[in-house]
Amino acid sequence: MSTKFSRRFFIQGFGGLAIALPALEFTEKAWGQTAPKPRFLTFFEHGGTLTNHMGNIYGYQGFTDGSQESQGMDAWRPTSKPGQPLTLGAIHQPLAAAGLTNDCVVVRGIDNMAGDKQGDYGNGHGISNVTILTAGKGKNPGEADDKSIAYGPSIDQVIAARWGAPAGGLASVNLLLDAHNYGSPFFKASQQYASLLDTPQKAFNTILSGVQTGTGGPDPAVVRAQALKVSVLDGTSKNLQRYQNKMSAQDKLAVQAHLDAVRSIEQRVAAIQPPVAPSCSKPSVSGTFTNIGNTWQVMVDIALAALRCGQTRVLSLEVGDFHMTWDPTPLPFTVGYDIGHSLHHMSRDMGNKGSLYMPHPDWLTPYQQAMIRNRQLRAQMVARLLKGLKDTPEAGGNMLDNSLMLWTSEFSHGAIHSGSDMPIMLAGKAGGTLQTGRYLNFNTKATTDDFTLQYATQTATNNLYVSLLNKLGFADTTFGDMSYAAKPGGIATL
Amino acid sequence: MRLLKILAVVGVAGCDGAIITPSPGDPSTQMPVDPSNPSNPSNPTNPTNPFLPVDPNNTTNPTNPTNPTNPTNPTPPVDQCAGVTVAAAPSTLRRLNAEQQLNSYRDLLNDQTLAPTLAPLAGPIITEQEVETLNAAAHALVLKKGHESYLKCSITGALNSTCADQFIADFGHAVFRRPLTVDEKAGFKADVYDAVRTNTAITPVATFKECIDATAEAILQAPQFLYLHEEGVVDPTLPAGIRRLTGNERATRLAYLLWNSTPDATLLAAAENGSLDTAAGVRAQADRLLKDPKAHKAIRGVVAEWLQLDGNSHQASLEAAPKDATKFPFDNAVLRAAMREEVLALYEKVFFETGSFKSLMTSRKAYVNRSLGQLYGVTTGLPANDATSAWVDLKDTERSGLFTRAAFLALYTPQDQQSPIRRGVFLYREVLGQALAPPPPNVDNTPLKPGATALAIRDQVDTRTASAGCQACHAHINPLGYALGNYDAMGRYVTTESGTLNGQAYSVPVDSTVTLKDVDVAGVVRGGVELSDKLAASVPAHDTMAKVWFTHANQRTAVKTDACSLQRLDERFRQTDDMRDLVLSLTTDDNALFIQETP
Repeated sequence: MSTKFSRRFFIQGFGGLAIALPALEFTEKAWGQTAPKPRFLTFFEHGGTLTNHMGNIYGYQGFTDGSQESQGMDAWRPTSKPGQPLTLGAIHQPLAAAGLTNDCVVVRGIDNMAGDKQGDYGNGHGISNVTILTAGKGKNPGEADDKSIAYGPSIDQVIAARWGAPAGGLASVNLLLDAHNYGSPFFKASQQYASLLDTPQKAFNTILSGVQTGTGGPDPAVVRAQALKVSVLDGTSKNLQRYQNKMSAQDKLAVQAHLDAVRSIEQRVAAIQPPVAPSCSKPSVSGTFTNIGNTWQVMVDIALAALRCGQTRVLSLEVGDFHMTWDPTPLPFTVGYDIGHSLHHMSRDMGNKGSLYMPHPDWLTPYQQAMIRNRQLRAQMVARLLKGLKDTPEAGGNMLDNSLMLWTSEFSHGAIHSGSDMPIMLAGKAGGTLQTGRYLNFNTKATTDDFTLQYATQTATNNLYVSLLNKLGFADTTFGDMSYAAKPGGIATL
Repeated sequence: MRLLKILAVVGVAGCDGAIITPSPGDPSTQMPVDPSNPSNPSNPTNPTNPFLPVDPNNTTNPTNPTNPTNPTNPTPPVDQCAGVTVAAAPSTLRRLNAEQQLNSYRDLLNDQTLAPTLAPLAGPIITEQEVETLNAAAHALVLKKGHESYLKCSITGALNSTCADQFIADFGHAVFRRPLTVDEKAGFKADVYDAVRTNTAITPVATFKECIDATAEAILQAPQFLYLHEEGVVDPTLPAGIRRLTGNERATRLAYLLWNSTPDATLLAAAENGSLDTAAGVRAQADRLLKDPKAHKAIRGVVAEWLQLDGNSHQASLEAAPKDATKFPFDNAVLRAAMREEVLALYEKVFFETGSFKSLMTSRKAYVNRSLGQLYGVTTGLPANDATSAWVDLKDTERSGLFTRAAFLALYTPQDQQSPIRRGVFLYREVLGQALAPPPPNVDNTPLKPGATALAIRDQVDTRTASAGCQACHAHINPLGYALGNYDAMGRYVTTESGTLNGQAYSVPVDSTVTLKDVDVAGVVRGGVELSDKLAASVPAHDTMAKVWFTHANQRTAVKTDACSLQRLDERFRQTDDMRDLVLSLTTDDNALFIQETP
């Protein structure tokens, strides 16, 4: 990874405002003095999507037509072809319904080559999770009780470290709608997970509780408590520095992460908050949140508030592999499944020679519809977030125009753990650097027939992330560990 | 790599071949363990069986995991202690988990009702969310005023610098589990107490109470509290490169092992008067700690950890494990809680009464409330209601030991019918300590269904896993699970299985007689009671129990340099069968007394 400004650069000493200046200067230059600063968003869904991509293994050349064991529908792909105006596919219909089609770019034919090369037979969930956003080396554990972990930062955290935290806010906000999963893909640094906020209450407390939306001066008691808190944090960070001096190199890193966190919180508490934007308001978090079905809306609203209130510029929403248990009929037939993991695995038994299809051919369509409904709920989350940004005007258009979103998963075909032809969607114009309303396919076998069953690609997530950095004004030519990629650099046509 | 990957998958493709007639049923072939854990299938030491990799950490198990089918010809044991004078490993920085933080705060602040929100450990390195949670917890704890008992003057009085110095020294000493250094004392005084006192943003100026409270907050969230950091001291009697843990470091190890909490004043005093500089001194304190009620709670925690009752991101906890409400209308939260309490109480009882692992595997005593007693079919001594529990005797033909209890049987089972595979995997890997790769990603994990020639669950599993590729692992897994066939998805004892196939009701007898193939449990076993007898006598099962405790004591997975320690523990535990003796041995194990120097 080429990091122009190390994380350390932003967080030396107490008093975040002064030391953040060089970063502001850099981004101002790249973006001009008046343009709003861009934002980077990630939507990550666990468990892959409904696709017929089989990853060139199990005897398939690439895709299945459904005549064998695995079902043959690709509900992720657009119904249009590359070069034509974008028409979104089944899973993305909630985006189409919200009028967002022309704000999106569907990208196919990109592989998680880092995961693919480090995985054993098939790619485990663990190694796939820790490589999909880092495109680098990860631990592929050999012990049941041992977990995969990344040895480098994920794309969102690289960007967050360079932009730093806005006054009173956070360098990044990582929200989690928790359900079955094998570990988060978001890493702040080697072996360090990003901070995940996994309930609306926690998210609200961390991101929005300090935002003053009312009129009139601040409550003196609150000001006093805040000053005391800053003193405690400052003393804590000085103590951490002394403590760190006695450590071995490896342990120093662990304590440094702790020290960075304390300083980050301290800067947030101490900062003089800028005046709130007109669009800034706080959602209520007093509801009953018992499952993703009744929690996702408020989490998206908190995400929107975090962005509108200027509390962060880097935000992710991670969704576990949920089964719609709150829905009385998550599947039109009973198969005894209790987790989303099983739902996506069923995909491989629904082809014409699949063990579930053969006795029950009438189950195929309801199964595909159930999968699409499950994935469409995830698309609804994205649609609510993007629509909210699009409906928020700011200089140069709206907030979505000044944002760049990456949507992906650790797998394409979840049931076979495929790390190729990843489900990737981009959205937002990234301040005018990304042309939207397009469909790109980097499957080199698909140049003449987009519906071919054959698959090959030279394009890796490394190349994609280089391009995303370029779109945001960074001049990187590498990302992650380029030795996993098949070719250097970014993606020229993106 | 890519070629090997494809070959490995082809090797198990037969696993998909079985054709099962679907109807409502049991996803018992769902991955029972973490499939993100692909041990290398191309293991060069075992080319004939790519799915049984060598466990790189398993350096002491005399039963070769690469050859589990041949108990009569294991690899000759290697003496792991040959040439080892002190079996110590380098010390790495560890941080207290949420329960250890909670127990420590409660003990330090002498208030067992404290319940601050604390964050689970997100990974090897702390996250900002954890730091923020700890910061908020320290603030909440100070509001409860427990720290004031360490202050030797009135907190509502005027500023008192001498009293503040004393507070920092005394409170810090308790929280950091050692006396503060001169620098540390001066640091807290200048950077917190005086910083608050002179902070111009605070008007009118801070009171003494505010200065002390802020100092207490900083001490409660200090890294010296959160992290276990060991430096040791040079001891000329030790070999080069080995350091002796200080008395305070030994006290800390001891307290978190036996209490899962911070040392008390007596233990710290022993540390600081040199009593813990000898193994005998450590052992004397260990004996004292083990007699304290706090030890009971900590010991119970280990069985919950071993059985993974709390679940994780991909496996539900015992309380959250979904069950079919139509099939098990009696299931409820009170019953689940009783299931957990029963296995914790069983472990505690056995541990403190005899310590016998054999008893743990074979005891018929059960601590039940009324519903759980009824689930077990107990009629004598049943408590009057679910709010009370009592020890009862289970039927000796039906139950025996930990693995015939509802908590285990219900957790390692899908929602509607028992799963020989999930149960078998747990026994094979977590009880017999054998290595097992995760299932391949293309495994057919659709729910098991009865078919015309396979009505019984056992027959369904046999059909599903018949291919040679599947059998590489399932020949070991399935028989262990079949032996528990008489316990349904809630742990009830059953002798028949019933269901419907094509609209026709059927009932088939359960066949729980199996021929086990592995290590020293090989042979014919008829049901859960006989299986428990086998486990009770098993050497690998004893070794695994020792490893569970070793891992718990050291808060890390065993590594190569631990081989000698594990060998000593194993040899002793196989002889004594006494888990108390095992834990006490751990308190004076080289790993608890010494560390290797790190550069």
